[in-house]
Amino acid sequence: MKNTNLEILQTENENLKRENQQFVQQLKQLNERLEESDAFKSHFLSNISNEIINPFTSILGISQNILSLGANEISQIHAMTTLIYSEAFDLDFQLRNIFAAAKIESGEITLEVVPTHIEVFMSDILNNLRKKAEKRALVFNSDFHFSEQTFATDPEKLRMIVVNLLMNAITFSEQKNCIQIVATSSENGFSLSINNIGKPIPEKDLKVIFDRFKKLDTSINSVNIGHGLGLSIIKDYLDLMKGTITVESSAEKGTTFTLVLPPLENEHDNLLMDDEMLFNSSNSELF
Amino acid sequence: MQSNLFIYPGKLEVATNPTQFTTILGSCVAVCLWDTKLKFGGINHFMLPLWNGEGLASPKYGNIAIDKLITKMIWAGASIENMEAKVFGGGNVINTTSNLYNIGERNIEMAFSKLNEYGIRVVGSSTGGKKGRKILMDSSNFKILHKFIEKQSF
Repeated sequence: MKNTNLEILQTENENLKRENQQFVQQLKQLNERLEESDAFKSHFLSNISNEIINPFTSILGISQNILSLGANEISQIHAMTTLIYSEAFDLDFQLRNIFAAAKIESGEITLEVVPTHIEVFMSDILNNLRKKAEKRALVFNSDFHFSEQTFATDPEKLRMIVVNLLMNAITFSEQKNCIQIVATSSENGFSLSINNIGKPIPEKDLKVIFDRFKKLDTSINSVNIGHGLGLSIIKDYLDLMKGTITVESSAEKGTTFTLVLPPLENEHDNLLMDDEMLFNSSNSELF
Repeated sequence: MQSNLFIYPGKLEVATNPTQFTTILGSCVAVCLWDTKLKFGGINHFMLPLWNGEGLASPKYGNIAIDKLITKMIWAGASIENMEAKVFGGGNVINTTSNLYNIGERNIEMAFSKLNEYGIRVVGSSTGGKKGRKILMDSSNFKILHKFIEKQSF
């Protein structure tokens, strides 16, 4: 009798030891990740100064050149303005991302739900990014099926999400290709998938691409601009908007991000309406 | 007029003007803080106990949300010695968005241990159980109305 008890205790002890080892292992991994994240953070500052100061310097330089040109040199002025536009466009994109991330991290994030005309919304974004795509000889191939014209969402956040996905598609696409954009809307929600042909994302990296400051290609001559903030912003926005994002990547089919969003109800309004009930109902308690 | 604010998950808010905060909690936890001398307060709403280095370091995570709320209270003039806390949520509701085990319980644990670390007194709480909650906090007197709700996932 005593022997069996001892045996039970021994196996129990073994199990606990094993569990403890697992926990230590997990803790080690977590530590590594935090160290990595910290390193990225310090990297971020040097990245940021390059990517903000350089475009500014060229904008200043080009504008100075334009100022020195005569009125009859309109074609040159036009070419230079195009350069300024493209530099300012990138800068605007980067700054918006940085501020969005800062806002999320400081907890100042709310939903502003309005009915959005989805077709106008999508074509507006595509028109805005077309110049950027043309620079890399890319064409947008859009396929829209909107059975519902308006969709209740936070347009500013959705815009941020879509623009980030498209900017990624443009950046990582092989030149002279198509970017496939398929969007549908129904009463159940809005779905969007964006496909680009290009080097596939390795399977082991698919998990970490949503991490903050994570850039897969960190080599110095990387074509990859940006801070690795885009996808982590997308993920946090989607949490709030109750949406999901999936990614598939292969050498043959390229990389596809698929976004699914339910229509949002304006919770704010709903809540204020039944506050009266909360005050009067018998099952409410005061703390 | 008193303003009303809905506290989304991952949001935190401190108001020095009389404000009514509303939020809905499933397995999430909200920590409400109040400065007893200056008579103003704040609230957060977090979904997971600890930031694990994934994604942004947002107040969606308890350890970050509580630190940030306290910092924000201090910025607004409050001091830790005068702070009181109330803790709500962490119900064991069926959570479709997360497959983590006992997330509510771990959220509650995080809230109490963090507050204890800071030495902030918890003067009221309603945590755990199987139901969701809706709370309404008046930032000017720290009265919090609390009601169980049936909604199953958040």
